[in-house]
Amino acid sequence: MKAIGGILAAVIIGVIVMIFVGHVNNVPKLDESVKASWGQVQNQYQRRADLIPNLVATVKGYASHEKEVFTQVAEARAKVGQMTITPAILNDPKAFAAFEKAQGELSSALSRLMMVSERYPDLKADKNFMALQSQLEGTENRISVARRDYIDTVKQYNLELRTVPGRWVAAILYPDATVKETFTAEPQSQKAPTVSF
Amino acid sequence: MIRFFLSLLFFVGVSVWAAPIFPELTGRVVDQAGLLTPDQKQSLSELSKSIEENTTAQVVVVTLKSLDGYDISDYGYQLGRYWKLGQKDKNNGLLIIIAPHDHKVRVEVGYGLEGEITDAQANDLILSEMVPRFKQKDVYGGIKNTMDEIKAIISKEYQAEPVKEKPHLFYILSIALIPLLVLIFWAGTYYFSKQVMFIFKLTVSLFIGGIVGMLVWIASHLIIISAIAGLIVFVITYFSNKNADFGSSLDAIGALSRSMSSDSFDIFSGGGGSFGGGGSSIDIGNILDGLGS
Repeated sequence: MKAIGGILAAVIIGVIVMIFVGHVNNVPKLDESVKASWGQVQNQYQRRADLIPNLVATVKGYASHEKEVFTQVAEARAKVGQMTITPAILNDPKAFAAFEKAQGELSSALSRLMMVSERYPDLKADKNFMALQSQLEGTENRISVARRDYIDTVKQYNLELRTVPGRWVAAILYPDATVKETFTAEPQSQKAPTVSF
Repeated sequence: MIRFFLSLLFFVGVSVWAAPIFPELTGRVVDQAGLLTPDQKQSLSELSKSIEENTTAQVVVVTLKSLDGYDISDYGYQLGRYWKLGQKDKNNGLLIIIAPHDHKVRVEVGYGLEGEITDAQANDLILSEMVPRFKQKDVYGGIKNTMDEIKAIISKEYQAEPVKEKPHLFYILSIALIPLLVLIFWAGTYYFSKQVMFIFKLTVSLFIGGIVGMLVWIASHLIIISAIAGLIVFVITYFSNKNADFGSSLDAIGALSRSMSSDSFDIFSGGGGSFGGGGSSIDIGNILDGLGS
């Protein structure tokens, strides 16, 4: 009887150990995938920022008197450019919110710029503008894909930290690991403007 | 505790990205909306196949009855990921998506092709190759010209690259093993007693059957077909005794390999590539109305 009890205990302990072993590396692994997907988000935002000078120059060629919208775009872009983004931002809700806000402002300034462009048929027919416009659209789309992938990886990471047994493993092995910040629901301004013809 | 479970619930709720229901990848041309004739489908499939042979890029044409209320750019990259188009290490998949009832067309470009086919280029392809022909109700022509252009663009990039080697080491080794096993099998039938023979035959037949099954699996990626093929070869090998001509099982293997290389066995599947939202979409209005089913 005692022997059976011993075996049972050993089996149960064995199973528990197995479960833990399966989770030992999850936190650092998921942490890396969060960083990678965050890198992708930043790449795409950077790509958008790089497109702006050309785009603004082209629009200016046809609509030079729309000064207000050019200033808005320039200011929003400057603000985004000034931000120093380190991976630490992912654990800092305030910095993360500031980043989100600045990018959101740039998004809305850009969509205003595109709306203004609608009023100039010559501009709309300009080959160069059309190319830039489709690049901007594509970049906005990539941003939303990258954001979504980021939300997904953060979700996995946070779930690992919040649920058993990952939670216990983390408490023992990775006491510094904290739940990461993520994007909230997709703001309307993130939607790429659609072209119609 | 309740708060803990609530937060858990919240996470699970957020986690479910309502993904559309995607059509199955039945071939290189998936004509759900019925815009193409069988001949046209065949021709586009061959074009896609030749692109893959030349450049390893996987180009798939899909016509959709409905986008399920999704934005086409939202739908497109998820479909590309679902089908895993493009080679795993290159992410060189490309999707031409036509949704006639939603009035949308999109060229979805995999990560690895974004350098060759920029968004502006994708946009230009749709506007100058597809739309004018679609306006004349020539869906096939629009797609074909687009694919020709794509082929020209990416061939430039990949020209120097050798064609992908399909038979890797394992494949070659197992082919070399079969004659060897047959030889051992033959020799065995002469030298072993009946009882040992049974186990010996069973082992060798299982082995040959297993290898054939593996080979078919490598070629077709279909578990059921490979299991059946393996089983057939196993049965043939086992029941061919020392008096019978052993050629029968070899014939079976030969027939199998022939059918694997023939076109009827060209079972298309994604190579493991991924998509990141590159490409371009356009609202084509009602120019395709009245076409398809």
